Amino acid sequence: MEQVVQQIVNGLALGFIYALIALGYSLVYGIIRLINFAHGDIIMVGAYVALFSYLILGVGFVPALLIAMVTCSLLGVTIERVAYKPLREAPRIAALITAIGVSFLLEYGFQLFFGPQQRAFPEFFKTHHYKLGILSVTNEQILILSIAVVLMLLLNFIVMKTKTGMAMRAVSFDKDAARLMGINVDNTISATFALGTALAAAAGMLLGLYYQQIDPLMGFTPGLKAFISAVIGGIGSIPGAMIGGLVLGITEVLVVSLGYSTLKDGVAFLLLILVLLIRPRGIFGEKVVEKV
Amino acid sequence: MSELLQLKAVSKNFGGLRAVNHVDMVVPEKGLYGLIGPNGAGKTTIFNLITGIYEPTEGEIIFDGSLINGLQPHSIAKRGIARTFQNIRLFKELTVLENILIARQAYKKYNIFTAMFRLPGYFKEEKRMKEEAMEILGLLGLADKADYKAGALPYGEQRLTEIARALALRPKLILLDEPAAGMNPAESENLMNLIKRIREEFITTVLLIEHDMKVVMGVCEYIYVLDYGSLISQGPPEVVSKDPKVIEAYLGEQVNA
Amino acid sequence: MIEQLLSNFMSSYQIQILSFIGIFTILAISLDIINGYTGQFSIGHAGFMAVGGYVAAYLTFYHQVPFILATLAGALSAAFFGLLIGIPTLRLRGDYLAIATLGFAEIIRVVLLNLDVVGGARGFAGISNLSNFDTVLIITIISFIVLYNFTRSAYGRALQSIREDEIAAECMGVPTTYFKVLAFVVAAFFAGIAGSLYGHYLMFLHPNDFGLLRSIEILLMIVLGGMGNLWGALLGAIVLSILPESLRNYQGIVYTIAVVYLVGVAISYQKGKQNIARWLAGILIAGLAVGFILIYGKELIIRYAGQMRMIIYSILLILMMIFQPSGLIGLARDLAKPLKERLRGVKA
Repeated sequence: MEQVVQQIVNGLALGFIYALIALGYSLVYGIIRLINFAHGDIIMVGAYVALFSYLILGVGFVPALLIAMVTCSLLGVTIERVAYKPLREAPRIAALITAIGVSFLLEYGFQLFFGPQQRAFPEFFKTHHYKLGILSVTNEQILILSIAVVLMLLLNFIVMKTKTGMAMRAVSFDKDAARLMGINVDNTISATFALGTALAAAAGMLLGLYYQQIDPLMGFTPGLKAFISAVIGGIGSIPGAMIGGLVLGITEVLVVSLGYSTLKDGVAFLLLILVLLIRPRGIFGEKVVEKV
Repeated sequence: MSELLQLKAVSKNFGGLRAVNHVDMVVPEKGLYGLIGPNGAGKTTIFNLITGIYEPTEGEIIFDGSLINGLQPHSIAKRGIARTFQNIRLFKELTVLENILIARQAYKKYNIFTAMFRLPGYFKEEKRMKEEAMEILGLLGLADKADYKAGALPYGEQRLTEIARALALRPKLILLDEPAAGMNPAESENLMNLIKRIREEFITTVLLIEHDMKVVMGVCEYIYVLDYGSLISQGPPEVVSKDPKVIEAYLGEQVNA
Repeated sequence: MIEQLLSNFMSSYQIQILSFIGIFTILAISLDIINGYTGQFSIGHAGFMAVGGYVAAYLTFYHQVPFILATLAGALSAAFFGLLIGIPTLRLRGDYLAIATLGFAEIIRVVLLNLDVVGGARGFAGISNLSNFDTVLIITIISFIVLYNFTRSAYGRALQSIREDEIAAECMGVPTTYFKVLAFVVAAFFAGIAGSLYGHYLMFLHPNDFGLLRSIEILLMIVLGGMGNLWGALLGAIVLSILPESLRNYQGIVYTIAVVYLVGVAISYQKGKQNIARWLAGILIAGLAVGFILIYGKELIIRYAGQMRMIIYSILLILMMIFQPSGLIGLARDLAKPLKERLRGVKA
C-alpha cells in the first residue's frame, strides 16, 4: 500500500507534465481542429533552448525557463504562419500530413545540427529528499508540480478573463462569426499557438529535469501521450486535459512499478482506444451535433 | 389513397432547444405535398428526422406501414426515401455519371470477388447499371454532362444532378429541400414542370420544402406550414395562403397564390 | 527467371531495390484504398504489414507451411486486425481515427517486442528465403490489378462517395460503416501480403521495422504520388524507394536535386503562368541558389548525406501539401492537359 501511494506521488510529477503539454495541444486543437504533431517536438526544442541558455549564457532556472518559453512561442507562431495557415481551407488530411512533416523536420533538423546523441540536462538544483510521513518527495518533484500548477492557473486566467482569451474562445466556437464580430482571427490563432507552445517549452524543461537527459527525439512520445491525455479528458477542455494527464501519468508509473516497463507505451495507447470506444468525447468533452 | 408517410407527434430537442414540436403529418401515396415556413422553422430538421440523420426525441415516423425512427439513413434510403439537400451535397470530385451510379450501388448484382477479378457477371452488370443511369440523366436533360465532374457544373445543373441522383434510388418518396433556391424565375418555372413530371414518370410521391412561394403554390396539392417547430396551418394552397396565422408568420413576405 | 535475366546487366543490389519497389507498391496502393479512396486517415499501415510478416514467417519457420499458404494466412490475420481497427471507425472521424490507427500499430509493435516465440526484441532471425524478385514481381502485378479493378467497381465508387460526403452517401443508401470497415480489411489484407514478402525476402524481421517511421514512409509515397489514384501510389513507391539510395553519394544527390528542381519548375509553371517575367526570375534565382549549394556545399552534403534523408522527406511532405496536393500524378495530368487540348484542336 505504502508503495502504491509512493508511486502515485511519483506519477503526479509526470502526470502534471503531460497535463501541461495536453493543455497546449487542446488549445491548438480547439482553435484550428488540427492535431499538431509538431507540438511534441516543441517540447524538445524547449529543452534544448533551456540547455543552451544554461551552457552558453550561464543563466539559472527561471531565466532559462523564460527564454525557452519565449523562443518556442516565436517558433510556434512561425510554424503556424508558414506551414498551417496556407492549408486552413484545405482538407483536414492535408494539414495533418503537413503537421507530421513539420514534426519530422524539427526532429531530424536537430539531429543534423546538434547530433543524435543524448545530452545530460543540467541539474539546476541539488536534489533533496523530504519525508512527508510515510512518503518521500524530492524538491524537483515539488518544483515540477508547482510550476505546472502556476502555469495552468495562469492559462486559465488568460483564457477566461482576458480579451485575448475571449477572442480565442470565440474563434474556436465559430471562426466566421468571430470574424464578423471584428475579431482578428489570424492574430488570435497566432496568440493561441504562442500560448500552447510556451506551455510545451516549459514542459520540455520540466521533462529534462525529470529524466535528466534530452535528445532530438525526446518529444515525440510525450507529445503523443499528451494528446492521448487530452482525448481522455475531452479535447478542448482545460480541466479535462489536466485530469487526462494525471490519469495517464499515474497509470504509466504504476505499470512500470509493477515490472512491465516494456509495455508502458502500449498501455497508453490501449487506454486511448478504450476511451475512444467507450466515450469518444472524453471525460469532459461536449457532444458535437453535425450540421446538415 | 393510402398514406405512405406518417409522422405522429414527432418532436426533436437539441439540448434545451425544441426544434420540432409535436408535429403530425401525413403524406399519401402519389401525393405532391409541400412543407413551408419561415427560416429556422424546423423544415430541414423534419427532413433529417425522416431520413434518419437525427433520431426523434419523441413520436413515431411510419413509412410504408413500418416504423422507421432509429434506423440508419442508408437503410431508410433502401426502404425507398431519397432526398436532396438545401446546400447541395454532390460527390464533387466524381463525374455526374458516377454520382448517379453510387445511388444505384445498393442494387448491384455482383460481389467483391467478381469485382476484383472481373469475373463474367461484372461487365454485364456494369453495362446495365450505366444504361439505367444514362436513362435517368437523359430524362433530366443531363445526358451530355455525364462525364463532367459534378463540382464543375453550373449551379442549376448541380441542383438537377442532385435530383437525378435521388431519383436513381427509385424511391417511393422523394424529399426535395429548397430545389429552387438560387434559381432565376425562368429556371424555377422549368423546375416546377420537372417536379410535376417526376411524379408522373417515376410514379413517386414528393414532399417539397420551398421558400419560393410561387413554386409551392403552383405545384403542391397540399401544404403544411411550420413555425417555431410547430405546425400552424395545413390544407390546399388556396386555403393556406389565406390563413391569417400563415400571413402573420410570413409577415413582410408576400404570399401569392 | 526474370531475376536471372536481369542479373545479366544489373547488380544484385539493384535487383534488391527493384524488389523493394514491388513490396512498397503493394503497401502504398493498399494504404491508398483507406486514405485516398475512402478519405479515412490511417497512419498505422506498418502494423498490418507486421502482422502479415510475423504470422507468415512463424508458419514457415515452425511448421514448414508452404510460402503461398503462409502468406495467405498472414494476409488473413492482417485483414482480421483491419476488422478490429475498422470497428472504431464506426465512431471516429479524421484525426481521432489517425491517432487510433497509430495506437493500434504501436500496440502491435510493443506486443511483438515482448513475444519471445518470434524473437522479441532480438528480432526474428532464420526465416527461410522463400521470396525473390520473381515472386515479388508477380504478386505485385496481381495485387495492382485486383485493387485497380476493385476501385473501378461499385465498391470503389461507394468508397469514394464516403470520401466526398459521408452524409450524402448514407442518404443515397451507401452503408458507410460497412464500407469503411471493408476498406480497412482489404487494405490490411494486402499489407499483410507485403509483410510476408518482406520477411521472406530479407530472412529477418524486427518489430522496430514496423514503427511509425515505416507507416509515415508509406503515407509519404501516396502523398507524393497523388492520393486517390493507384498509378500515383505506384509512382510514389518507385520514387521513394529509389530516392534514399540515390542520396547515398554525391553524384546521386546532384541528380536528385536537379530532378527536384525541375519538378519545382514544373509546379511553379502550373501555378504562376500569368506572370512570365516573375516566373522566369524566380526559377533563375532558385537555379542559381541550387548551383551555389552544389558547388560550395559539396563537403557538407557528402558528410551529412545520411542524415539529410529524413529532412528531405519532411520538407517534401510540407511542400507537396501546400503547393501540389494532387501529387506528381496530378502535376503530370495538369501539364498534359494543354497538350491534349492542342492535339484535339488539331484533329477538329
